[in-house]
Amino acid sequence: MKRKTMNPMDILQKQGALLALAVLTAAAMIRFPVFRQTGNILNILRQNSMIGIIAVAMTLVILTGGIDLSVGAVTALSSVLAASLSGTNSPILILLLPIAAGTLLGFCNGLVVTKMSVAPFISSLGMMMIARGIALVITSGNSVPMAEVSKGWITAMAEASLLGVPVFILLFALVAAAGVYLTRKTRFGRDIYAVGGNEDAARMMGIQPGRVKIAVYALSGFAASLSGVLLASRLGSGQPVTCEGWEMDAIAAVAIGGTKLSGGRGAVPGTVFGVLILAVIKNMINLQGSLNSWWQSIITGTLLLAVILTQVFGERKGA
Amino acid sequence: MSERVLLEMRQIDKRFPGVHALDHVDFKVRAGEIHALMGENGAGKSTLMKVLTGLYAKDSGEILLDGKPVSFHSPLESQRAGVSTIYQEINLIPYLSVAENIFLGRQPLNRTGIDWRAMEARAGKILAEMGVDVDVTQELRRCGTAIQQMIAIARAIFSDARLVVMDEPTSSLDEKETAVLFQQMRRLKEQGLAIIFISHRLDEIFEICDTVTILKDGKLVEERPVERLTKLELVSKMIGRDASDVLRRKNGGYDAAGKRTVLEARNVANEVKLRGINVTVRAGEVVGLAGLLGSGRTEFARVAFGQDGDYTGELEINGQPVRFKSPRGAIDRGLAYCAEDRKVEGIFPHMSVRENMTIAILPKISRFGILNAKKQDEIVERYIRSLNIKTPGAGQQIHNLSGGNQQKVLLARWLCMEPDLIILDEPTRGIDVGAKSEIESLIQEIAGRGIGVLLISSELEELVRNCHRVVVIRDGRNVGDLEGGSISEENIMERIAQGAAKEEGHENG
Repeated sequence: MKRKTMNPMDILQKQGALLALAVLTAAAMIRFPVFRQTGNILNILRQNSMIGIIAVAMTLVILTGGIDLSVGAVTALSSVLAASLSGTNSPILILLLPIAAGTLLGFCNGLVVTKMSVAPFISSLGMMMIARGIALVITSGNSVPMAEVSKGWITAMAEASLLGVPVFILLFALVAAAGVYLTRKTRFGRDIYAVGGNEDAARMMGIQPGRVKIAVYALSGFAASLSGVLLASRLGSGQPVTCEGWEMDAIAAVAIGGTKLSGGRGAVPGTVFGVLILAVIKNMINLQGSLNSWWQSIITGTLLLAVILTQVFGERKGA
Repeated sequence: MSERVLLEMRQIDKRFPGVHALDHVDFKVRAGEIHALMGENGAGKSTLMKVLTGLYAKDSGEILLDGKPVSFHSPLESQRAGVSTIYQEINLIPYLSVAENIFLGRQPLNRTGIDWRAMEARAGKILAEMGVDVDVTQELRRCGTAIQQMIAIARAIFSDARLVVMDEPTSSLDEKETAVLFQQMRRLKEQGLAIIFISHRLDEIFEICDTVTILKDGKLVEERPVERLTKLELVSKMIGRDASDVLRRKNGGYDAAGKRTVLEARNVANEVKLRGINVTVRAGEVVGLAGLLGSGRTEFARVAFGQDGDYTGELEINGQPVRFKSPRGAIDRGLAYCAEDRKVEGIFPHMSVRENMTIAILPKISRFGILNAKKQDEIVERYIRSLNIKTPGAGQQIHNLSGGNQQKVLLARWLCMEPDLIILDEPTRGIDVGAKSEIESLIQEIAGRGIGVLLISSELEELVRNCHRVVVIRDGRNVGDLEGGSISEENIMERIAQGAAKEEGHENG
């Protein structure tokens, strides 16, 4: 059997995100002593855990060759639902009902994409407007404070830690680990790659692409609404107009993490690195002080293009 | 071969809008036999197989597998029942590893999930048994076409199949690889599996098959054991007319005197495949480029057409030295190139026949950027008629046409540019005998008009039938030049073989 040879381009493509993260982190550590403090690092992780959870699920959607633009709106809707239900003081209703609703929306999105052959971009754009609209209608556009009966334990969740690690971070880690396991070790996970790599071939091989796609959109809805509940817990209220542009941040994290937007290629760890890269850049700009936060957008955009160009160049070399 | 009937399809009927694709067809396959399913494109072979595997729903009729009535609604269901299929177009996943492509959907599992190590070990063993030397952990897209086809075959036959359908599995294999495939097929047959084999290469049918079923226009023509059938009978039954002239050599002699040289290549080499190719094509001459798959035939064509810029050596067109940086330059100098893979490099599937045919000459038939539609229609109608392209109209989307007719549209695209030299790379690949014969007549006609033709083909008999001269190459360099009467399959093979011997001798010395 022939042995594999790794060319440098391959390594850059596969491990580029990790390398970039390492370089950025090292730079931040040298430049900003504050960055090194455990408190700061935990804070970065906690703040970005919600977008991280969304990005992990987004990776699955993008691996099938799809896209989900509805996640930001679903997150907002879910936070609104959680806050609206807070008067019941029932953990099941407050925590699970919004998640069930978000998952259902994702499922519907998947149905529209598969059964009606609507392009994922359009389907999820529609779903984004619908979810945002529902959130605004329910709240008349206002923020919804948590009811006093349950506010205590809900906001405590956001501050809770296990062995010194905030629960939010643990949840992100859990979702990321589940994503890695799913994509590496289960047949369903490999079917995701197959569908994104060549849908017709996957069908011929006995895989049912429709089911795989519906499942990933439902998972994306699940992840977005889970984030929404976490957001409500952190803010102590439901916010119909938050999270605008989260879908784009999540997609950027996935792309920077090396997952191909046309599907079939990429991995969850890359996305986690992508999320952390964006987080470190944001933190560095904050710590720097003199640059205003709009710079973050310019830097992120440049990085994104650099990654895509590396991919394109690598493809050509490889072919 | 036993007499136990494994598959019986009875009175299968299927209509598409405007076409009676299958007209009450009976089809029977016995355990332990290799059964050829023959017919021209559009005869219903593929439709019948798609009905079998559940990709199409039949309108009426019944299917019995091992005597039990079955009805599959998806490839998944038929695969579970033991019907495995290898498609003509390779259906694998480019970004997954070789091993995964073999095991996708039935990966070995351990307590924690997919057992990658076991999967890769098994894949390595399977491919080694088939004589394929490849790293099973590498991405499939890094493998060549032939290897990919072998992987597709490995996937199909190392499942728990009782019946394997092979739809033109050899179209991208060279002789050696085909031999390996046949060896595997015989092994499967001994194990009692049945194989349905579809191929346009008649020799293969006679080499490997036990029984032949012939379809024409959606109807069953005949089922007969191969040993009681001659090649000529088979062809005439497939095309439904007297076949005595079908396989005849088409061209007359060629008189080089006074003819200008349209292409002259001297010592063309590059870093990839080519080690020094010399080819001359004169006006009105059909020159064959023979050699095994991977010998550099297509690579040479790409260099000559300006698709691969990095090369050494000299190219002359009509006596003038040229060095093309892109196909545009080659086209401007009167070159045309009908690529091997028409799906990838040729057709625009959702555009009409009209657009596909004239896309390269739009500037010529436009004025101030506005298209002269009348002129376009004239040209399109002329070529539809003269090439006998079967299409309901010029507005038809090209993907609805059969492979042979798509190929003719592509030919027309190049012909309407009035080139001096046309390079045809596997022009009859994957098209049926009738259309093949028409394309071959066209080649002669094109040459008759004074256009030089460089014909690349894996089918030796095609070269023998059509060429005035054959240049044999091996491993990127010339190993022989045959002319006129000395062109024969034996001579071509001998040159290829000798080329190999010479090389070995060189290495030993």
